[in-house]
Amino acid sequence: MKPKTKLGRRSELANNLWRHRGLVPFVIPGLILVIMFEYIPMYGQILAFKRFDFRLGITDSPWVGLDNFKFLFQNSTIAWRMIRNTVGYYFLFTAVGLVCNITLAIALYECVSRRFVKVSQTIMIMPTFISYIAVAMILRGLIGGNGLITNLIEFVTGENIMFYTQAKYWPLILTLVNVWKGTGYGSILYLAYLTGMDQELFEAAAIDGATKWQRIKYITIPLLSNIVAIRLLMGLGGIMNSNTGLFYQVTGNIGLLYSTTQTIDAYVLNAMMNSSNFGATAAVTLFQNAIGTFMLIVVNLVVKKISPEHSIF
Amino acid sequence: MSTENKKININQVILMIALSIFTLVCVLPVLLVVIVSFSTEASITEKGFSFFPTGWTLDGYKYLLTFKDSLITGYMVTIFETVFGTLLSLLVTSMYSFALARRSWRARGFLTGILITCMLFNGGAVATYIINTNVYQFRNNLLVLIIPGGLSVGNVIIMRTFINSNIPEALIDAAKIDGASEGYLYWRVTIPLMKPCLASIGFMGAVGHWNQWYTSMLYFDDPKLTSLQLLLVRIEKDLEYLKSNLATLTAEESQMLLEMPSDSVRMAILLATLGPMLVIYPFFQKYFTKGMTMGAVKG
Repeated sequence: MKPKTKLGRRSELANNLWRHRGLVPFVIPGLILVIMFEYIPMYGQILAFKRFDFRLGITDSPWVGLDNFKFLFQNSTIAWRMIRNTVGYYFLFTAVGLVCNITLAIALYECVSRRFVKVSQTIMIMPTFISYIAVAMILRGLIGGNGLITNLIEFVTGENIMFYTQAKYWPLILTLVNVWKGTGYGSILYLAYLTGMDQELFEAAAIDGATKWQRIKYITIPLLSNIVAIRLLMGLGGIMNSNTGLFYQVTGNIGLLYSTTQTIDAYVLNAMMNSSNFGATAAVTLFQNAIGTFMLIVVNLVVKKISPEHSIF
Repeated sequence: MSTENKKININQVILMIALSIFTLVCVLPVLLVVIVSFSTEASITEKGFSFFPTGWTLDGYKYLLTFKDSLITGYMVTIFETVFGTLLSLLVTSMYSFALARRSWRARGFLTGILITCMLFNGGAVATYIINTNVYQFRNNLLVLIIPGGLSVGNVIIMRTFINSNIPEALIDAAKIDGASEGYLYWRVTIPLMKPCLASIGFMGAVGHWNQWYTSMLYFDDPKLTSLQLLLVRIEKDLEYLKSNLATLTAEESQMLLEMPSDSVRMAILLATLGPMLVIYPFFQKYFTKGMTMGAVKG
């Protein structure tokens, strides 16, 4: 065989592309959408360095240097509060969600009545399909002024708690809502892993006299720990993101509650709804995205080291 | 795990009780909504939201008819978005994945890279909003609900992996030698084999569209474009607003409004928006496990 020349390689590539020309129409629609709705908005990030004027558009609006970022540092109580809430809830929800999802998965796995598991699982995943707007309404029926739980607490303790005016209750309320909405669905993945595991391990342990608890502690949890570690790491890319359904709709976007409920995304949505200072808001999202990108790159490097088949790039 | 000869012992009973409690916690709030929608206004005023109202009535549903026009608009907008949004996304995403799955194609790396870049960097909410309204003129335009979400990067990766691990390249090569076109390979060979994958991704996409409120709230102020989710928000606000401005209404209107059992009507409307999803999802349950494990494989 002749050694490949540069020209030979190039014509080989051209040949390959020509042979597969039939595939090109299949990627065109996707490419157009990606350019229009991913790449052009990326260019739009320059808004963070401009004073936006709707008539002039993004390109022609005047540059203002780093002025928009002053907000992040000068108005530091609001900025610090929303960063703290975003990151805080991220870790809180991740930790509580993980424990709940795995506990439920193990419980469903250990339950011997298949029919019971099937029926209860169908009901437990229902909250996943309820919109956050609906969740917000249901929650008001529970802890609003005339709500079931409010009345129950008043009946038992004689105290009428106004949940929608007191920020201190909301970390707990939001965590409970999050668990209610996501645990049934979140356990499906772990249950799938458990059912896919080597059953001989469990049988051997049982023959050796291991109790149920010992089997869960020494076999089930270690077997799950790999996938858990990977998922936790990969999730870190979203550390600066939060669910606006939860933090804007369920909380009712009530100013009194901002100290424990306003996250970056909720702040940004609120600012856009009020059409206030797009430049400064764009600066906030640029900061948010920069941290997200940095986390994703670092996390991917780490995952690549410990488990190459799980890395994204 | 579950074998026929295993006895139901005390541990199993405790386990099932615990699971039953969590199951009840999941369903009771929705049951409360149903009960309140049938409760009399007097009962709600007296006892608040309760599982045991002092009186039952169909008034909530009778007054639902006053919102008939808004509900019909809401259903039309939401169904339009759900059907076309899901179909377009499945079509564009599966086409892109079909092409990316061809290992012999040398453009593959470049086309994957374009998507990975989108995972790393994004325009952010503000830039996206400004570009969509200022450049694409998406304000009060139904297309904003459908077009921007047409290609999902995560789903391309999942679908491509699914095609690679379920459809042997040899099958594709053989069909090509027999003279099959790419269109035939996509529509007649790949798509039928992808059914479980399409069902799980498509259903979750449809749920997302049905429950979507963010885009509608941000881009629409035309009442003709009010989706079901937005209708819930508006009615919540309007009832408050109307009740606090009774003076501006005609005698007839304010009489009707005063008589209207507002909580039961709100709950009835809530059920009207939830209903379709809650009826359909159990039929797709078997695909969820598949969908979740598919998402966990390497991209």
